[in-house]
Amino acid sequence: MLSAFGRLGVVVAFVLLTGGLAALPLLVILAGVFVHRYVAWTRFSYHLDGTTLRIDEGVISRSQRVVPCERIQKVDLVQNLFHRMGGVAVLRVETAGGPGGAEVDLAVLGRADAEQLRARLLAAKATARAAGGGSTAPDAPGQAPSSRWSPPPPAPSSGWAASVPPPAPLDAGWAEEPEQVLLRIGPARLALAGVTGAQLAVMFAVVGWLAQLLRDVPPQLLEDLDPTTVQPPSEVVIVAGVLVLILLWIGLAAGASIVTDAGYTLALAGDEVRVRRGLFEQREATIPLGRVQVVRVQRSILRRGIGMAALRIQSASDGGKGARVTVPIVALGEVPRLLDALLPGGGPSGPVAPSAADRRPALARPPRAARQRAIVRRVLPTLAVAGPLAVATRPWGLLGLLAVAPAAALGVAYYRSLGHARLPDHVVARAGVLVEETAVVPVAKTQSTRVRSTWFQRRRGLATLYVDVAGPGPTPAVRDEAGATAEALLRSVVEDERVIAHDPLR
Amino acid sequence: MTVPAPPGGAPGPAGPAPSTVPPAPEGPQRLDPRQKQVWRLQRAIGAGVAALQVGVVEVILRARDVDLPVPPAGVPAAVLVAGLVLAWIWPHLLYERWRYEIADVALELRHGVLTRTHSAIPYFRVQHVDITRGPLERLLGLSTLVVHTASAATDATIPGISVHAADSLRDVILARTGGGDAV
Repeated sequence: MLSAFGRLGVVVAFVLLTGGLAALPLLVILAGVFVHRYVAWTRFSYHLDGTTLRIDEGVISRSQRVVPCERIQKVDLVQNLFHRMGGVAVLRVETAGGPGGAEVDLAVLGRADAEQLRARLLAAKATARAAGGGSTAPDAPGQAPSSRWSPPPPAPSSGWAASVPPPAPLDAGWAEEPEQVLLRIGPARLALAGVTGAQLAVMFAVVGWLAQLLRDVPPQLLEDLDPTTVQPPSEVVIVAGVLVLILLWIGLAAGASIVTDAGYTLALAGDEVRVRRGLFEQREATIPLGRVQVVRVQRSILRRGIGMAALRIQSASDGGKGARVTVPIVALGEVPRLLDALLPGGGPSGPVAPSAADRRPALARPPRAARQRAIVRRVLPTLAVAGPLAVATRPWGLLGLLAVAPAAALGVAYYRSLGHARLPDHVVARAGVLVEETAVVPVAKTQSTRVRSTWFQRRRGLATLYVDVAGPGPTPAVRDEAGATAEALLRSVVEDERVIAHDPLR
Repeated sequence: MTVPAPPGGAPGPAGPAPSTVPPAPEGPQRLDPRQKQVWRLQRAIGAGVAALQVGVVEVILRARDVDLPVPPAGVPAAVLVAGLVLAWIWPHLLYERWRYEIADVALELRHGVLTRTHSAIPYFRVQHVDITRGPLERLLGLSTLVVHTASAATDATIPGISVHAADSLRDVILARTGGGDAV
């Protein structure tokens, strides 16, 4: 209704400016908006029956949403300027469902009604959690995020003698928890991270900037250049120039990495993971340990040669929003220790943990059919491009068909990168050639499981298993496994996750 | 499997009062056959739109004196016919492959013609449940049930359930969700 009033203002202004007639269609549209809004308002209803919140809405398409009260993460009361003028408020009810914002927007209630309903919702949630084993939510996510690391309750009054210093300052929460540093990264290693990581892309930004600069050179300057007087540079100069450029590139990449990640510290404090980094702008990120959903071990082609990896930690927090925290570079030998500390309930031991001695952890490989598929999927597109080109530009164009060989090699490399393991508490999936990624998913964190097979996969008896997790980031997948294996994995994850998720010891 | 009885006769931890929880359907369930008509109409409209677009392109080309080696309106007509034939056959294939099952620990869906999906959504991961009804569905008395978990990737949309069955299916699922926040 409120935005309709806003539109009314626009139309009135338009009518006054144009003298009426031109605004007639607008008036018709406005009338339609008003009617639609009104009908939508009459169709909207909510119903709280003690254990569930039900919302009915929709004019032409109807929808009904039911939220169990114990799933409610938080209830926010929002009032913008228009709301305050009208004496109303919006009640935002959030669950952990999906990304995006609130699951339920109870728009436009009277302020007093909104407050009362919020109290009822929170009470219903508390009752439902008390009745239904709140033990699955060890970190009481319904509370405000800050409460997780709030200082412990004040000491008993006996300790408050007059001589005792005043209560702890604001950041007492930080001070109280002793930090256990998991990893520090020094400048030399950060430089290495930059040289072998995404920072190499900095060069493209620089090249773009140089190109822009060249375009902006005044034309007179170029006209003044007399081609006859300019000596072509000698080969030595060209080689030296290229070398300098490459060194500059590497230096820039290393520098960028040091600037963003200087003083990188990964630490555990109580039940949360903290990351501190940054040279000029210091950043500190915190995620609750219990909310870690996936840890990915990433090894780019450059890092595989030097026994290094990067880690990405994906978490889900209140309202389904999540965060990702990165360890830019870490020696392979340290990965098992970090997995153990970062994954809720401890990391997988054994085959996943890549150690320096065992560069390729022993994961189960998909069947040979997956190898054929990997090759075909890379060779066919290459042929589709190179084939017509070769025919059009023969005889020399036929050499282009040689591109099939690297394509096939890439297919083989991809097949060799594939692997999975179903450990007691984890699913591990590995894939990727340029960046090999090993995702470690705690079974207790899987939200749902899917086996998907395209027609091409089924012809070879293959399927892909997806392990759906909360938080931002790609879905971990066991790719191109035998169909029966994928189905068995799905079954085992579904059977185990309930047990594991409800076992407080894990 | 029977619906677990709540302790002490008190209202269950989730979902409506236990007395109203209907029995869960046993074994794999098919969609309501009328869903085929919904899909057919949707796809027929899609075919019409595609034919129209091709037609517009043809009109523009002919207006610019481009020589087309096809009779006037031939391509749009072919697109329309092919689209309508597919719109008739494909929903049947879709329908034949669709199954949903209220299994012991999870809601399981199996569907897809070319790309097949089998998904399992454990009840205790369910965050909330939607029932939506578009205009055509309302006309036919059908509903779409969407189960949400904390993961956006979860595939849990069941189309083509009769209104009554959707309500009871929802109640069955909610009665099994259990406590906590399930993240």
